[in-house]
Amino acid sequence: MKQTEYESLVTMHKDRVHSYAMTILRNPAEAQDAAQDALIRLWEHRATVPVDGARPWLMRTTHNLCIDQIRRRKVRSEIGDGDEVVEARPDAGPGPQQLAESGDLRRVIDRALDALSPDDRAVIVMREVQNLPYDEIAAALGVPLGTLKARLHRARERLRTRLYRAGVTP
Amino acid sequence: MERFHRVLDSDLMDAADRQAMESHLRVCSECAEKAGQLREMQDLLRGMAERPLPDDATEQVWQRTVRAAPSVGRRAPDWRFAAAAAVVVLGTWIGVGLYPDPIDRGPAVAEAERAAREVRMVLQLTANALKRTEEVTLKTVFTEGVSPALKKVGVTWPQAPVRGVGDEG
Repeated sequence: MKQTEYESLVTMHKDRVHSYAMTILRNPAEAQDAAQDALIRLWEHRATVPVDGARPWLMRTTHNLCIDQIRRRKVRSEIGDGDEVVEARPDAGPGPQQLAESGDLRRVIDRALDALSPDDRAVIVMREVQNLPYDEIAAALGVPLGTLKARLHRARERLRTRLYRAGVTP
Repeated sequence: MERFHRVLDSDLMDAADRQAMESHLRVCSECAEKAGQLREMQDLLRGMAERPLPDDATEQVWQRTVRAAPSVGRRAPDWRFAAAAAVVVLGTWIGVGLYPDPIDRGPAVAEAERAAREVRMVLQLTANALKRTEEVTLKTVFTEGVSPALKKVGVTWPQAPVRGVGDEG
């Protein structure tokens, strides 16, 4: 990988990497560190990482850095038990339009994502937010394609339930 | 619902599967509601804005990667250039000390000339010491058999006299 190619890749993917880290870690300083580390590691491994494989490599590296950070924080195990309720559903929910206009939609979605386990959050963010192809997500997370799809369907259902209870989806 | 997930995943479904799913959604209000929620949720998530990496953080990445890399063709400065630069600096310093002002020479001139003589003496002693070190080293190489290969090719010890401070004239 040439220097100019590295510069192009960083310019192209730095926001994606940072967004992912931010969604997983929910901490601006930690997300920034993880994004920077991933981009710097790409430079250090530029001799072996092909240009066309840089994006999955970056996502995998960012994901691993985030997971390491979460382990360091010793996140409580109950985060991923799948039964939390973000908010009780209001009798007459504000709906996505009202939430968006009040600036609360992003906050409600973030809270719903927060309630997912890191694994569920990872597949949701990579697939639904960043629209990455399945094979790339499977490579990034180190799981077979079938496992990935099953995890994605389960994560979708959990998130849908949370957003429904929060009044975001009808 | 598994089929609807496959629709969301853009997985290939044959016409018969798709037709069966749509027929089911038309008659099952519960599945239709879930499908609508999933589709809306996907639209919401796809519409989430990215969180840009701050400019100062990006700058730090450049500094620790491409800007930290050594430039091609850049070499360490030649020691001879550094020595020449040192001589120029030293000479300028001595000159400024001797002639601080071309108009106002006054009583400081005698003191400055004495200082200059001392500096010249120190430099001469240093040069002599370096010269002598070089000669001793060469003599050791040639006379004590440190490098017999030089003798084989006919290179011999040059019998140049060693000059000291008091040998001038």
